[in-house]
Amino acid sequence: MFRIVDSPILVHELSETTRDEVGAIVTFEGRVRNNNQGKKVLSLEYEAFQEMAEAEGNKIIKEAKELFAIEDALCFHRIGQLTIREIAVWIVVYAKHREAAYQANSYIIDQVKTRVPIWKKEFYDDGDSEWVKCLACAAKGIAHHDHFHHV
Amino acid sequence: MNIKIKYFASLREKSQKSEDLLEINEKQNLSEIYELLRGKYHFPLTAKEIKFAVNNEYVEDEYLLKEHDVVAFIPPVAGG
Repeated sequence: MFRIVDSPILVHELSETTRDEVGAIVTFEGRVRNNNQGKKVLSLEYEAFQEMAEAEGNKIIKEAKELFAIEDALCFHRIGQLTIREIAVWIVVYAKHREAAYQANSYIIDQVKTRVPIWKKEFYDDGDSEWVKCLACAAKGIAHHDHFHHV
Repeated sequence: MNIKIKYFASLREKSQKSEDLLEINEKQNLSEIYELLRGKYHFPLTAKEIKFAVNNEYVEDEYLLKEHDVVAFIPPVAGG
């Protein structure tokens, strides 16, 4: 399951499992960092095309379940104003064994960063602000199914 | 034919709106429509720098639009 949320992600409540066959849980926290490319960042604003973001995010989760031997995976992404150290994105993968859990978690964050329609505006200490333009992600002609086969 | 356009991030700020209703002719492709609106709103990104989505799915520039399609211009994404 992939969700866009506008309030803090309560990670401790989410990482529990009710499945007895799960032997490995890998979580990833993407946090707001205080600098980017040499500029001091004070806060961030995330914006999403929510309907499409959740559709695309759920495709990624489905792909991860097909590609790796995992039981389940969840991903939550914040929108709105976030300050330094807050969790912007959080992923949990449940598997029988750790290797598939690590790989699936890494796959999910890589795909989220390149495909899910979410944008980030950085606010700097000099009063400036800017929408972050990830050049690698913007490369044209990379359809999502291409990513799918490059794993 | 009539379509809806959705704007996000830098495009939303530049146009000062989230949506537009637009009448287009069937021969216009997505890049042409974007470039027209770019001229009107002075968008900072070229058609080559963005992606297109129709009805919540990524599509190629050659996608054939239908009446009431919802088109989203997707600036470079930056989640995570």
